Amino acid sequence: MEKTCESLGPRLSAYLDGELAEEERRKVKKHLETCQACRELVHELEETGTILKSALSSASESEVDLTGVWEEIEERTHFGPSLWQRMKKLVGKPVVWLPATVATAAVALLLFILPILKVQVPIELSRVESVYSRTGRVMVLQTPESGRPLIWILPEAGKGGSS
Amino acid sequence: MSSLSDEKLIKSCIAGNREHYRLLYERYKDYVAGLVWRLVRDGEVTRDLTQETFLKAFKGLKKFRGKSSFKTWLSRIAVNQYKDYLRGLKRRHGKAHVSLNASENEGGIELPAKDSTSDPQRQVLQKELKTVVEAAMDKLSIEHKTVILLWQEGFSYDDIAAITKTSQETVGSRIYYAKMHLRDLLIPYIKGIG
Repeated sequence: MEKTCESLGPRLSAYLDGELAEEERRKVKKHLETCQACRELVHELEETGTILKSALSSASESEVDLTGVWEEIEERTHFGPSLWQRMKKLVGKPVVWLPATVATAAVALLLFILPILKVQVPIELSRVESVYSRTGRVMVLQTPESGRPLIWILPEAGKGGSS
Repeated sequence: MSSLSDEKLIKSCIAGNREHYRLLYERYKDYVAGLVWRLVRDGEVTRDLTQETFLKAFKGLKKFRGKSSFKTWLSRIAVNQYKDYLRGLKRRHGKAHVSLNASENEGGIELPAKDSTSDPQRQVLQKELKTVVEAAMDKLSIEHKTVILLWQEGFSYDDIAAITKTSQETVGSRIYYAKMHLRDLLIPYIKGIG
């Protein structure tokens, strides 16, 4: 092979293996028509390849005893479906089912449960400290928080009341 | 053996079909063992690495996206197992026993006489050639040996690049230099040269 052809080596090998793009393949083919050294190299590579394929493909696998290998694999592998797959199977719905349910539950929580929780905050009831009534129609109530009296006037029959 | 495609078997395995795991194993066990055996040439190690390759493949089956064939994916795992094994050997025994570079593997091999007139039978010659080629393969670096075995298995440069995590150019270059190295070792067997 000429010195200028040295860099062609990998391409000659790829040419033989059918791994060159069409344009590149044409260039190499054209070069081979005029270069005796490269033709010889291609021949040697081809012969080497033939020997390798022939010898290596006849390598005997029977030299390897695989008895018991599957049993070992079986023992160390979890073959069942994943938890997620089991849940899917249980529900029998597409994958979107659970996320959609979770989202709906979250919205329901916000809309209904939280307001209820808010209402359930214990309210401290006012205690009536004293009731005063002289006539029986007017009552004065006083709570400790406000400190202000609440006057309740009972209406006479047929009239409205005020407070 | 089942006529189901690899893709269908894999889907079924992921869904939890234990029997289909077995079918995948049966379909590829000889291929994986053959590839590993040609890399390590030791029955016990081949058995272990074959087992580990399938264990890893089955454990990570959900990660298989189908971008390459299952065989390519499995080969990649097998090659990685082989590399891990060599790293382990190197850690245990040091460089003296495990050569990871081609330069450390220089030297010829003892070739049987080319004209085996004493034993002309084709079968015997084939066996002899196999021994010679395997000895020659052992003189290659791990990288060169790996690409040659994958090339011999019929993988494209693109597939080999995916298996060995390199570029197509690197694969082409490695195959060429590996073949050149082997050519030098096999000269007596190459027609028109020896």
